[in-house]
Formats: sequence, structure tokens, C-alpha cells
Amino acid sequence: MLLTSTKSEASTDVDELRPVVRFKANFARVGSTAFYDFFRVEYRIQDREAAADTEYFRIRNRIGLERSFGKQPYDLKTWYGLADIENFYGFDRDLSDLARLRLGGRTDRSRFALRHRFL
Amino acid sequence: MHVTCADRANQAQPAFPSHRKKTRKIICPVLVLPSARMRVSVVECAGSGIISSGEENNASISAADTPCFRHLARFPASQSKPARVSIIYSYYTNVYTKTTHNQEDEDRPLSLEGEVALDWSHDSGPRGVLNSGCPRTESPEQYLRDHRKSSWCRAALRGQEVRRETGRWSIDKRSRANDQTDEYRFTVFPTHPIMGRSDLIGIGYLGYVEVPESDTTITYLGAGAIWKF
Repeated sequence: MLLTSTKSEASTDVDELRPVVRFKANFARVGSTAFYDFFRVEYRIQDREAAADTEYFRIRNRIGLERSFGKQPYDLKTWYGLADIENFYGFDRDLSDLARLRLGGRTDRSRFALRHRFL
Repeated sequence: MHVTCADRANQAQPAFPSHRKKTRKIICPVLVLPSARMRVSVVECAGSGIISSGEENNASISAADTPCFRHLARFPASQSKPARVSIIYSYYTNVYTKTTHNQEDEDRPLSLEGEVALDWSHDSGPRGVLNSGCPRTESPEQYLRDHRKSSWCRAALRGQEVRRETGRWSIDKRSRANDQTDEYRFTVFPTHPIMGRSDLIGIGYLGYVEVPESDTTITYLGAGAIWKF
């Protein structure tokens, strides 16, 4: 459950209640590479100050992989390479947003990522 | 300029009509087939972008008075803006604490995960004007014929709002409501096992987003649970 508050000088303020259900499926590892699918269903209830309120579902799906580069996976100092792509679908406009591509690396304690948005 | 549209009867018509006076030999005009067919896909229509960067312009005045720019999607690629590019730098860190429980030392991982993200975009594009609900005040052919090179058309391509007031189109040069802007995001995810169970984890969510150019701030507060099965 998320509560968000958007305060903007350029547009209307928005308060949002967003129940979220997430499913993450970890697939079988291939060598030192792990694949996963991260699926989210969000129900966005938006209270707009100067416009009509909206309620709609949004679906997000992220497919990604992690590849360990250390000799001992899951060690604190092991580095992992990250790559994933996430797609959004909003039922309010019946449109799909493609997509965010993320590349990066992480250890058990830190993570760096670079995201590229196609749109 | 030929307009690509599958449902139009004149789709295969040449770009320029041939001259009726055959005073000299005229080379038959080359049939110009559309080269930007993919730009009418839902991917482009999603250019109003609600992934992470700012609030889309859903003001009723814009929905009512902004012309539908679906026709622009049929311009050749040279008439359009490149796709927006966002770059987000993320940083996460975990903090571990050592606690005493039942007189036994144990490492209880209290994971605090933080993210600092920078979302940058260099191009605005015709965001927000691709509202599906905007009225079709003109046919695509009329639109292309009359307004293809007009100033408000170019303004709309720059992301400026175009309004129709007293029967005339005008440009709000101050408006940049549909622009992509820089975004600075900081998020903390504290997690902790619930009742000592490793398969049930509580998670919190606290985030703050700053968009300086539009004076927009977004705060996130959330809580939930993760069940591993």
C-alpha cells in the first residue's frame, strides 16, 4: 500500500492511494546468471485538487537478470551485473508504455544502475 | 506529402498531383509510401509518459482545447522529435545492526536500502497533446494541409500548449507543462522479518522526488509484506 502526495506549481496537486500486489518469480539459474520476472498490479486512486478524480489499474512487468562476477556468489563483496526491462500498461488510456531498460551492477550492500527510457 | 492511414481511400495516391496541362513531358511523380508507419503505434501515443517523470497534463481545459495531434505521428521522421531519453542513476546501500536477543548475540539483518536516482531527459516531444479524449476538430487531411507548417504546430512539437480562444488558435509560450524534466529521487526501503520468520518480511517505503523545473515534489509513504513461498 502506497500513499503519495504530489505538490506542483505547474499542475494540480494530487494525492494518491495505491494498493499494489507484486509477484516475483525467480527462474532457474543458468550458470552464474539468474533470471526473474517481477509483475505488479497497481490500483491508482488519485484525488486531484483542480480536476476530476481518477481511478484505474496499471500493470507493470519487469523481466531481468543478474549475473555474478565473483567466485563466491552471495558474498558481500561479490559484484553482480544487472539488466532488466520494464513495461507499463495503464487502463485509463488503454496505452502501453515501452519501456525502461536498466543496466547496472551491485554488491550485497550497494547498487548502481543506469536506466534508459525509450519514451 | 502523402498521409499514411490504412482506412483512407486515397492512401495510395501520389504525393503531388500530376499537371493537367501536358505542355511537356513530365516525369510521373514517385509514389511516396509512408516511412513512419510505426510511429502511429501505441508506443508513440504513450509519449505523454507517466512512467516516472512528473504528472501528465490532465487538466480539463487542456483536454478540451488541445487539438489532437495523432496526425503528427504520420509525419516523416525528419518532422519529428527523437524519442525521449531518460537516464537514472541509482544507488542502494544496506545497513546491518547487531542486536542482543535472549542473551544470545545474533546478527539480525535490519536492512535499510536507499536509492538515489537522477532522471534526466533531453527532449520534450509532443507530450500531453496525444490525449485520446481530445476532440477531433479537423480531419487529418485538413490538418496537414492547413497547419503542417504553422507556428502553433511547431509549438506543439516543442511541447507548448496550444489553445483555441475565440475561434483562433494561440500558443501559450510560457507553458511547459508537458515537458520532461530532471528528476531527483531518493528512496529508502527498510525491511525486517516479521515474527522472526524468514518467509515473511515486512517492508517499508519512504520516497521523495524533486522536480525543480516544475516546482513539483512527490512524497511516497508505504508499507507492506513479502511472503516467500
